[in-house]
Amino acid sequence: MAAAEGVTKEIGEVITRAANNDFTARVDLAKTEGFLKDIGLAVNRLLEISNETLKDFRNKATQTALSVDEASTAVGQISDGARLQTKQLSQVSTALTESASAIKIVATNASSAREKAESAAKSVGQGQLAVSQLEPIVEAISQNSRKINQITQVISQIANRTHILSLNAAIEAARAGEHGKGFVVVAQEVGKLAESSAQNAKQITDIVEQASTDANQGKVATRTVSDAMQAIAAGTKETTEMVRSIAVAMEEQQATISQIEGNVGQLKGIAMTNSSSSEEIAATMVQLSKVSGEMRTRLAEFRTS
Amino acid sequence: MITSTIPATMLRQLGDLARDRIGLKPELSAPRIESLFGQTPEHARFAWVSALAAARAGDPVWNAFVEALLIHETYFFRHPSQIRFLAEEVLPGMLAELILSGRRRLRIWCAGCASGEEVYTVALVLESAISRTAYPSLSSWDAVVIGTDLSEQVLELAVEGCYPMSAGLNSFRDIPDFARHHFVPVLDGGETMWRASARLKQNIRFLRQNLVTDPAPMQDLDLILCRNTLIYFEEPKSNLVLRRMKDALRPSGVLMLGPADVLNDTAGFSTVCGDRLAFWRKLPGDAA
Repeated sequence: MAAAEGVTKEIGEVITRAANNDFTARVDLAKTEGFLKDIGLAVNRLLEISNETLKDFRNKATQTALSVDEASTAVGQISDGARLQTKQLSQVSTALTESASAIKIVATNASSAREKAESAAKSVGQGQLAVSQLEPIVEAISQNSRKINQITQVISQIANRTHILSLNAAIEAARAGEHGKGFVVVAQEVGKLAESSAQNAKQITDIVEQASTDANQGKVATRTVSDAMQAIAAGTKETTEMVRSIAVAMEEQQATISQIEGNVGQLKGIAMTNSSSSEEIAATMVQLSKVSGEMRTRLAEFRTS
Repeated sequence: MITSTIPATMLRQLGDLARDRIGLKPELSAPRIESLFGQTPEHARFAWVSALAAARAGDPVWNAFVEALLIHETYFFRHPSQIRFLAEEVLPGMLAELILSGRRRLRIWCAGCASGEEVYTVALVLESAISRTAYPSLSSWDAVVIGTDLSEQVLELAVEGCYPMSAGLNSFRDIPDFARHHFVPVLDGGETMWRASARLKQNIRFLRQNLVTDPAPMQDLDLILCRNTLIYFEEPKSNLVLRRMKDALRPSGVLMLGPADVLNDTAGFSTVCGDRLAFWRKLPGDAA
C-alpha cells in the first residue's frame, strides 16, 4: 500500500509539474505495477505527445515570426518605394505640365510666324504685280524715245534745209543790192534759227538717246527686280510651308503631351492605390509580427526536453 | 544648412499627438510625418511643427495633418470569404431571428469606412439576404447602414458613391457580377465613374467620427464592422474602441473584425465561426 501511495504521489508530482509548464518529468514505470502502471504509461504518453507537439509548435512559431519579420521588412520597402513612386510621378506630371505650356508658347509663336509669312507672301505678290506693270511702262518709254528720235531727225533735216535756204536767201538778197539789205538781215536770222534748231535737235537726240539707254537699263533692272521678286515669292512660300508644318507638329506634340499626361495621371492613380495597399499590408504585418511574437513568448514558457 | 529630416524630438512629439488624439501607432505614422515635414517649405517647417503642437482638434492645420496621416485602403467585397460568411450565415440568421421577434429593425455600423465601399458592400449583401426572407422587400424593413470615418475628404467620396474603374487596384477589383449591376456609369470630366444607384443609397448614412474621442453613432446595434482600421491603432486605444463597440452592440449582436485585428478582451463574447473569420457575438446575458 505504501508503494502504491508513493507511486500515486509521484504521478501527482509529474502532473503538477506539467501543469506548471514543465513537460520534461516522467513517471518512473519501473517502480509501478497494475493499474498504476497503466496510469503512469498514459501520463507519460500524454507528456511525450505534449512535449513533441510543443516543440513542433515552437519551431513553427519561430519560423512564422521570422517569415513575418522578413515579409514585414519587404512590405515596408515596397511601401517606401510606392510612396517614392507617387512622389516622382508627381514630379513627372509637373514637368509635363511645364513642357505642355512651353509647347503652347511655341505653337502660338508658330501660328503668328505663319500669319507674318502669309502677309509677307501677299506683299511679295503685290510687288510682283507692280513690277510687271513697270515693264510695259519702261518699254513704252523706250519706244517713245525711238519715235522722238525719228521726229528730231526730221527736225534736223528741216533745220539743214532751212540753213541752206537761208544761205540762198542771203545770196539772193546780196544780189538785190540796196533793196535786199534788210532781207540779208532776215536771212541771217533765219540761218541762226536753223543753226540753233539743228543744235537743239542734236541736244534732243542726245537726251533721248540717254533716255533710251536709261530705259534699257530700267528694263534690265526691272527684270532683275522681277527675278528677285520671284525668288522671294518662292522662298516665302517655302517658309510659309515650313512654319505651317511646325505649327502642325506642335499641335501633334500638344496632343501627345496631353495623352502622356493622362497616362501619367493613371500611373499616379495606380501608384497611389499601390501605396495605400502596401501601407495597409505593412500595418497588417506589424500586427501579425506582434501576434507571432506573443505566441513565441507563450510557447517559451513551456519546458520541453 | 537647413535640415530636411525632422528632428527626433519633433517626430516623437507629433507621433504622440496623433496617438493620443486619433489612436495611430507612432511607428506607422512616422514615415508620413517625415514626408510631410520634407514637403513643407524649408523656412516654414519649425513653424508648422509648433502650430501642430499648439493646434486643437478641428483647427485647419490639425485637420490637414490628420488627413495626411490616414490610409484609406478599401474596396468592394474586401476579404470575400468574410463577406460570404456574413451574407450566407450571419445576416440570414439575424433576419430570421428578427422576423420571429416581430421587430424588423436593423442597425449596422461600419467603423472606419473610408470612401464607403464596405458600407455599399454591406447594403448589397443585406438587400440580397432580405430578398430571400418572408419579407423580401427592403421597404418592409427598417434597415440603416451607417458608415463613419475620421476623414472629411473620403466621407465626401463615400456620400457621392461614385468610383472610377481605373487601371490598377480599383474599388471594383473583387466585386461579384450581381453587385456590379447596382452601379451606373456617369461621365465626370472625360472619365467614366460608376455611381451607386439611388436605391442602394436610400438606407445608407455617413457620419464623421473620431473612434478615440467620440461615442458610437448609435446604440442597440445589430452588427458592427471594423476591419483593417484598428491595425493602425496602438493597443490601449484599440482596446478602448473595442470596449465601446461592445457596449453599443445589442445582446447577441455581432462584431466583425478584420482578419488581422485582435480582440484582446474576449469576455462577454462568443465566437461565431470558431473565430476563424473574426466574427464575435455578444453574449445575450451581457446587457450593455
